[in-house]
Formats: sequence, structure tokens, C-alpha cells
Amino acid sequence: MWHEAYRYARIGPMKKSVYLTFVLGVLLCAGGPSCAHVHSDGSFVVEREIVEERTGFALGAAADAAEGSDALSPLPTAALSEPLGVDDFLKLVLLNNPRLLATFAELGIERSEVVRAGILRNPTLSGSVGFPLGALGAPSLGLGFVQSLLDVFVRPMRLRLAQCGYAQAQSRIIQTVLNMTLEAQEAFFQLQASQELLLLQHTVKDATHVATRLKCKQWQAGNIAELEYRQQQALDEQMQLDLDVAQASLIKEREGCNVLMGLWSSDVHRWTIKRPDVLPKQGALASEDYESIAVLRRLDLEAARQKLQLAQQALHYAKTMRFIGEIDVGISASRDSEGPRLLGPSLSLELPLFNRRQPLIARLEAEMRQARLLVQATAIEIRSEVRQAAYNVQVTRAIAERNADKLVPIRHQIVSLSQLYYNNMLLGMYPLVANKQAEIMARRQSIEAMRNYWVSQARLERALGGRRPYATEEQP
Amino acid sequence: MSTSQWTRLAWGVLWLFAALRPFSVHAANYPKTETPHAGTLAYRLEQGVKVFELTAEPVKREMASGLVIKGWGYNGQTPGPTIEANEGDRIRVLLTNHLPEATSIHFHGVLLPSGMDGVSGLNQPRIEPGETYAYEFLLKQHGTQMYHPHADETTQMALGMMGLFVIHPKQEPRRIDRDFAFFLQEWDVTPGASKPNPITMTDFNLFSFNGRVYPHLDPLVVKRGERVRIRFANLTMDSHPIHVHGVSFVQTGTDGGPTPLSAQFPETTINVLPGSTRDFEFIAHTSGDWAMHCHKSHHTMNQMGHDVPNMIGVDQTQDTEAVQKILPEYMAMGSDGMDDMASMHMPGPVNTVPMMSGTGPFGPIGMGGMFLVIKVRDEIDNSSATSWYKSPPTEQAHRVRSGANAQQKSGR
Repeated sequence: MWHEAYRYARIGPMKKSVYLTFVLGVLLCAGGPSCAHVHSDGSFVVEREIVEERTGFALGAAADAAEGSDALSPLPTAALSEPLGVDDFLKLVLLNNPRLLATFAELGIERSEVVRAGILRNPTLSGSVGFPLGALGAPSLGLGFVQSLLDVFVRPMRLRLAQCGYAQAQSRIIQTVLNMTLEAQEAFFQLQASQELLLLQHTVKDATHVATRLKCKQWQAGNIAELEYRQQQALDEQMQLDLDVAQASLIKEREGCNVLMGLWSSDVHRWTIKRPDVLPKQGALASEDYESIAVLRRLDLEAARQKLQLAQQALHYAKTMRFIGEIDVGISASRDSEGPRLLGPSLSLELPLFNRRQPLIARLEAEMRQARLLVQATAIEIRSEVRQAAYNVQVTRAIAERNADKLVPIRHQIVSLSQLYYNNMLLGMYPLVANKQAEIMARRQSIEAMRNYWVSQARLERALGGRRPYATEEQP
Repeated sequence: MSTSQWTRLAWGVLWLFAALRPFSVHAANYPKTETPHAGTLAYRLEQGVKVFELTAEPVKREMASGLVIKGWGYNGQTPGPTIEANEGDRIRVLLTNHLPEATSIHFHGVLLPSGMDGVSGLNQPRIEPGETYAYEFLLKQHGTQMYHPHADETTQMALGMMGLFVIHPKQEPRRIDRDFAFFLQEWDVTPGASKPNPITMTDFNLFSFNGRVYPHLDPLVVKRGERVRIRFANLTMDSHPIHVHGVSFVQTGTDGGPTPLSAQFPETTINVLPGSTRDFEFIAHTSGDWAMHCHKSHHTMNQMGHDVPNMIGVDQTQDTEAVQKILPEYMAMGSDGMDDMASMHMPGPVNTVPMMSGTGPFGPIGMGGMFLVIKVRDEIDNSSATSWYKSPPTEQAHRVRSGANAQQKSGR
């Protein structure tokens, strides 16, 4: 690079000092904070690795322009044949969700800016012809070839800035992908819980329906008044309505998951979700310093830091180049109508008398101050998010445990005791069934509590910058 | 007359005198009173005074196998042991209070001095926990009386504090061969719990003879031809019409005194009012197994649910399966009445007995509460209490025609 600079700048014998100044200038531009190195082969290996490390799953091939495919690969046949757990679901989302892959593909757009920054400005070839007006004579000709010399020197700086900008975009885009993954996790847990809740709701409804049928028979046999029967009937109808509404809501949630997995045609009906498992024994990660982990791993904070770096670097370059204007060198040849043919070099120097990049420097200084504050703001927000997420994990865990370990067993015991009373004709059929329904409602509450726990776990993961290896934690 | 003739005459007169002389353990013509499942209080003689010691205390009472209540009583039981004495006796009752609150003792129907009448605050101070009071008086009557507290009676009687006080005459007008005494009691014990609720006014669920419920009441075994007296005492909130099968009897006494012969009319059911006693007598003239019970049908049931829905005539067959999907142990009941309880032996709550049970020689009897069997036998031996009467074929009800749908009941 600096060899090229030497070749273009040499117009006759050059003073060593001038040459050295140029070399130094180039070296100075090469200094300053460095940014991420971009693969020049067009692949997104590093970025894919980051996504895989943060989510646990590989991105689909269609996200990567370098691999040449812009169509979604067909899903493997076995992918939808077994009931899906959350990991199976996320694997499919990362493999197949076109919107998520499109977000990732934005990296290609960002990378093009880096490529553009590394390319020198094209030289200019100019030519002119002058035809004498009135007087006789031959037309004059002129030809010129000019290359910007400054561009040669600023190219490394420009490239570095573009790389910084790419690094920032990389963090931002991957963070967006992680956010979409969290949304997918939440959608999965919601659908999984809704499915289970609907099953239990059916059971409650069936129990009410049996009681209604018996009340109808009691009324027809003259054992109770119509009023009592109609009150039961109203309850039955309301339960059916609630069930219909829940069914419609489930369809909507299922469709949401179809979209997340990027499914269409017959695939939308082919898949099922695993039923939720019991709460795993090992609990949350109470002893770690989540805030420190988060500020190290969070990509949105990294992006804010990178933006600050970019501003710092740009300011440094702007200050360094403040007294250097445009330098164009070239060769020109001409022939006028009466004179000899002329050939010689040309040099154009912009004199930074009035504009010494003051506006740019002022702007960059302001951007740098703003970026510094935004880093702080983002860090504070992240720390709060992490604290809240960690607390929520503990709280939802405690609630889920109390539901599963205390309330549901007590409700079950109530049903067992009620059965004994029923056996001795000390309790009627209706309160026995009602106690069973209360047990089912407790189980429904337990399922919702479990769902809330898994969602809060996922939010903590996201708050900590994506999945980390939890040695003892099992996933549903 | 010769000496031998005079001797023979004397022996004859002596023999006649012995034959005609009224027979009894007490040199009278009546036996000791039997208080099944409660017993009689022993006494000691102190200078001619019969001294009875009673301790008022919390007690546990096994009303049935599998049903123990925590009540209050005397000398570790409810009802308390029967005080048995004779007209003309001077008696002293020492009452020690081991209850958590004050008490007193009133001798219901006994004619005695005002200061011995036992109404706390009126006739005497209350007997505080730990104290012992002495009551002493001369018995100037005979009959079936009672003793019970007269301090916080609602609580103390509802928890079981009461006992029989039988005063025998010197001679009964008619010879009595067997004498049984029962205290009628009502309780409200929530199924699964064990403490009677003293607040209950009308909705009781356990009805007992001497603190026991059928089928955990021993039968009364009497010999055919014996004159049987049965005494009933009642301090409950309800009257109890006690009915005896197979005989007609006459009321022979109340807590007010003996019933004159001219006022004795035949009955098969005698209404024992709250706060009274009734004695009746009959001759056990026919051998067999005879029921004796309160004729209020709820009083011959053990703990029963009064909020159970009326399912009589409701066909539950198609619905049972649907309920069993969520309650696998569920079985439809009540479509044909409550007889299911008599024959099924399904597990019930702790400390609870089935509403109706009991088994006889022909299958389930399906009773509870205030019900027992009087077994009249030609001869009494060790097996009489546990054996069943075998009727001669010509005296046995038997099937002459099978119903085509005899086994098909609605709801099954």
C-alpha cells in the first residue's frame, strides 16, 4: 500500500522528508483503535458461530449469501414427525424462519460498505479538442489522467472505520436475531401451556356437563325445581363458550408458531408439541454476578461501545487529516494548433485555509459524547433488566414449586377425602365433582406457573446475552 | 299332734314361706339393674352411708368400632356409671371436678333438701376445677332417676355428662326377672372429627343407647317367659318413641314415680320425653329375635349427609362412566334409595361408621343408631348372645314367586 503511495507520489526526485511525511502520515492513519476484521471471502462463519454459541443452534443456509442459496432448504422429513420440545422448535426457527434469516442477511448489506471502503477512487481521464474559430489552423488537443493521491492515504483509515461500523452492525443484527429467538421461545412456552390448559378445560367442562345432565334428570323426576336445573345449565353453557374461545386462541398461537418455523402447506398440520414436563429439581443460578456477565456478553451494549469506538476513531482520523486537503496527481498531454506537442505531470493541492474539517470534528466530538452517554445508559438498562430477570426467575420458580408441591397435592387429597365421604353418602355427587374441578383448576394454575417460569428463564438468558451452558438445568 | 307331725308342719310352713317369699339378690323380688355398656357404680359403706365417688372429666368413648368421640363424662365414660341404691338408703355422692370449667351435679327427680339439689348459683356455688363437693341425702322414693350437671348444661350435657340413678323399692309389686337401663343420647359429630358440637340444637347425626350405636350394641338375651323391665332416660333435645317388636308392654314408671296399675295400658311404643325417664315391662312370651329401636327413622341411622341430593328415580347408568373418567372410584348411588349403604363396604372417612349396616342371618339389616336386638330364647347358654333364632319352617316368611325384574333396579 505504501509502495503504491510512493509510486504515485513520485514526480521527479522527491525530497526524502516529503516522502517520509507521506509514509508517516500513512502510518498514523493506520494507527488508532482497530475494529473487527471482516472475512474477505464473503462467508459469515464468525457471525454464524456467534449465533450458534448464543442460541445453541445453527442458522439456516439461506441466511448466508456466500453459499449461493437464496431459497429455504426443504425441512428434513423427520424434523416434524416427533413431538417438538423447545430445543427442537428453536432449531427449526433458526434453520427455517425467513424473516429471521433475512435479518441475518442484512450483514451482507453491511459488509458491502466495508468492501466499498477498501476500494480506491477511480482515476479520471479527460480529453479536449479545440477547433479554431475563424483563423486557419489545426485543432488543439488535450488529454489528461488524474488520480487522487489522498485517497491512497485515507483508504486504510476509511477501511478501518468501515470495519468498526460493520462490527457495530454485526452486534446489532445478531442481537436482533437473539431477540427474535427469545420471542420464539416465549411463543413455544405459551402454546405448550395453552394446549395443556385446553385439555384440562375440556375435563372441567365434561364434568360440568355430566352434572348438568343429572340435574336435568332430577328435575324431570320431580326431585328438584326447574330453577336449580337452569342455574346449572347456565354454568354448563358458559363453560362451553369459554372452551370455544380458548380453542380459537389456541389456533392463533399455533399459527404464530407456524410462522416462526417458516412452515406452509401440509407442514402446518404435521407437527405437535411435547407435553410439559415436571419442574426440574435444580433451581435458578442464585450465586452468580449476573450484572457482570451481562455487561460482558450483551451485544447491544457491545454495539453501543463499538459506536463509541467508531466515533473516537473517526474523530482521531479527522483531527489527523485536518491540515491535509485533496491531493490529485496526474499526467497531461496537449497539442495546440501552432505549438509543439506537450507532455507532463500535473499536481493539484487543496489548501486547507478555511475548512480544516472543523464542522466534521465538532460533529464527531458531539457524537462521541453522545455515544459515551448511550453506553452508560445501555449498561444501566441492561443491569436493571438482568436484576429484574434474575428476580423473576426466583419468584416464578417459587410460585411454580408451591403450586406443584403444595397446592395441587392438597387439592388431590381433598378429592380423595371427598370420595370417602361420598362412599358413606355423607357428600353428594355435585360437591364431589366440584372438588375434582377445583383440583383441575389448581393443576391449570400450576401449568401457567410453570410456563411463567420457563419464560422468565428464557428472558434471563436473553438478558445475559444468550444461552450459556447451564450444567444442571434441564429444558422442557 | 306328735312331735314328728309338728316338725313336719314346721318344715312345711317354712318351705311354704320360702316358696312364697319374694326372690331377689337383695332379698327382694327384683334383680340388679343391668346398664349395658356402662355398668354400675360401686360404693363403700361409711357408718351406714353408701358413699359413691364420681369424677367429672373429659373422656373418650368408643361408640362403635372405628368411631371414638372425645366428650365429657363421669369416671372415664359417657354415660356415667349407674348409681344404684335402695329406697331408705342414706347416700353420699362425692363429685370431683376435673373438667376445664366449673360444674355441679343435680339428681333429677330425686326428692331431697334444697341445698342438695345441685343447681349452681341457686342451691350451691359452682364446683371449680379441682374441687370436690359432697352431696348427702336420704332416699325417700323409688324409680328411675338421673344425674347430670347443672352448670353450663348446654355444653356439658351435649358432650355427654349424664348417668342413671336407679332407686329400688323394698319390694316390687310384681316379680321382675330382668332389669335393663339405657340412657338415650344424641350427638353432632362431624364425620371425620371426634368432638361433639355442643352448639347444635336440632341437626344431630349420632343417636346412641348408653353411648353406643348399632351394630355395636350387644343384644339383650332373655329367657322365654321372663318378666323384663326396660328403663329409658332422656336428656336430649328430642323425644324418642321407643318401639319393641313382638310384644306389647305397659309403662310401669316415670321419673315421677311408679305408674298405678289402673293407668297402665298396653303399648308397643313409648315416647320418652326430654328430661324424663320411662320404665316399661313385658313378658318375653315368644322366642325369637326382636328389634327394639327409636321409631324416628333418622335415629336408627349413623352419621348421614343431610345435603346429599335426592337421586330417587334418576337413572345414572349412562353418566357413571363419564364421571369415572375423572373420578375412577366413583359409583352411582341413591337411585333406588339408600340401601346401597347397607350392603356395600366401601372405604369411608376416618372415625366414621357407615350410615346403616349390621348383618343378620338373612343378609344386611341396614340399621344404625338407636337399634338393638332382644333375643328371647327357650334356654340361655354361652352361644345365645351370638346365635340367631331359627324359626320353624311354618313360622318363616319365604318366597313363593320370583319377580321377573327382581334384580333389575332403576339406575343399574
